Amino acid sequence: MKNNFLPNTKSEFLKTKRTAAIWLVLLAAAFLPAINALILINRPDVFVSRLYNNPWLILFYMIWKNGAAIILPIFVILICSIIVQIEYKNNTWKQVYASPRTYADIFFSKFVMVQVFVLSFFILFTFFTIVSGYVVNLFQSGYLFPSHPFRFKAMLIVISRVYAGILCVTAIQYWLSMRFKNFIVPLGIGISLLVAGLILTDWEKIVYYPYMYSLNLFFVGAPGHTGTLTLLLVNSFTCFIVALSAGWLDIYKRKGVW
Amino acid sequence: MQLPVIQVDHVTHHFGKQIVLDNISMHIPQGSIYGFLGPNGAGKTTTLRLILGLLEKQNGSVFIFGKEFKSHRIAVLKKTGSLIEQPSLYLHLTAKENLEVFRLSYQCEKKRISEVLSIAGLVAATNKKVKAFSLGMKQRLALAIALLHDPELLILDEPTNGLDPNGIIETRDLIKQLNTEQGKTILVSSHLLSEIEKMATDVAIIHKGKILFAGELQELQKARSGHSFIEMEVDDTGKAMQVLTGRFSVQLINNKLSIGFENKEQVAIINAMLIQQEIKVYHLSVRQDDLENLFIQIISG
Repeated sequence: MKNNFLPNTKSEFLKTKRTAAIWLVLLAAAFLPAINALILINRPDVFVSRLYNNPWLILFYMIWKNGAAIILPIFVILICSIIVQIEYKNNTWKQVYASPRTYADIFFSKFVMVQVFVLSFFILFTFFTIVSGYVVNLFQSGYLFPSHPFRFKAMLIVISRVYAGILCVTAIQYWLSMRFKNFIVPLGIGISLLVAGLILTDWEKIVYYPYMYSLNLFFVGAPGHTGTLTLLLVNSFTCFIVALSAGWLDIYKRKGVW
Repeated sequence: MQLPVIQVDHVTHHFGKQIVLDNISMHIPQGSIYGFLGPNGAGKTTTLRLILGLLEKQNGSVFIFGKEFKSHRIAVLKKTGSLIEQPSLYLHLTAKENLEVFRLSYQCEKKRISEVLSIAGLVAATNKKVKAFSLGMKQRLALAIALLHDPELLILDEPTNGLDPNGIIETRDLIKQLNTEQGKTILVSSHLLSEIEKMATDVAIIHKGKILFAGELQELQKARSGHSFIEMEVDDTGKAMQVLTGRFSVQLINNKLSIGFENKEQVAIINAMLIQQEIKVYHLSVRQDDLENLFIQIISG
């Protein structure tokens, strides 16, 4: 398996060629930076003063607030579904399981692909955020983006926390997408759990709710938000390991029977 | 005696309460083209899926290359190529990309892609997206994937399904060529006996989950000779039946005599017996009782 895992992961990557996955990551990563750029361009009277000090970090927080709450979880729900549906849609599971690949290889190489797309989202999201800052300045010279340095370290801390928070959702959604042939099922469950989390944001037990880990970790330490960094990280990683292990055991038990 | 490449023994399989395979056994000899025949829904695909581990075995045993499949899955699949039901292909990828996907899994040399494209007659369609392929082209590409790692054993489930007559002949010739020139053992299923008759060395007939016949094609053909009939039109059917009954099995069907025979000498004897009794023979023909008829006779019990 060790020898085959990399070629098989490469093979999984090749399968995503010309699929909606590539467009999804681009659109999802560009959506919020574009919306926020439009807002800043249209309302300089409100935002020029607010972004006077530290414009990059404030813009970054503005965009990531909604990113961590909605766009990223929805992106994860969709990308898991798209990657797994490649096999269901083309009726290729039987050929995959009839090739000399271990069950672990089949399960984890595809999961690596999910992570590659999620990390691509983070990279592109940051890139489009920076682009949006410069674009805003082209239209409204009152903003001070070019004259301020990027706060990469602070950005990286936020990104790392949000990524740690979303890992669990990637494992749950991947499992659901593998388990159900009908893509509506994982999609429906994922969106319902996300909406329920957004409704329950003020609940004191929200620190134990997986679909809100990324948002909670984004806001960790902010006034009025529950949960310490350690507690949220422990919860998130525990949930990730449990969900991934349960998913793997469930799929392994099926042993290629579809 | 050589060990069978595939040894299926006493396999029974249920889907819920329905028995789909009832205590089936098949031994597929090395170097054979093993025709697996049966009408649609007889249990062919279920058997092939069980052999490839795509269904969890409930009862019995499956040995491939002398190894128990479950505990030697990877080693067995490295030497096995398969095409199960309709072609499994990534429609958004080109023929070459589809082969590359599986080449990476099989870890075979890159040159195999052009080799199998050439074998399958798809060189011109190398960079064409599979969604633009005809069913015949898809079948050929699926066959190319099955051949990619140059397997010793090929398991092909209805490989000629959906092909035009020319495609059927080409696929049949390719299967025969792979068997004779490369020594591959090939298990090929079909619901068309005429198709299997033209290429198989061994045959198993399955119906309603039971194996009704398993053996060499020649044995089946011998059995056929015992089930052949001549049809005769005579001036006095009653007298003719009196003459022949006792020595031959005679039936009157649509005012014509239907007489069972085992070899062509008996045909001459039947004719001579009637002429000796001054019965006029207006018409004598051997009923075209090929394996197709035998197949129907066997499956209808």
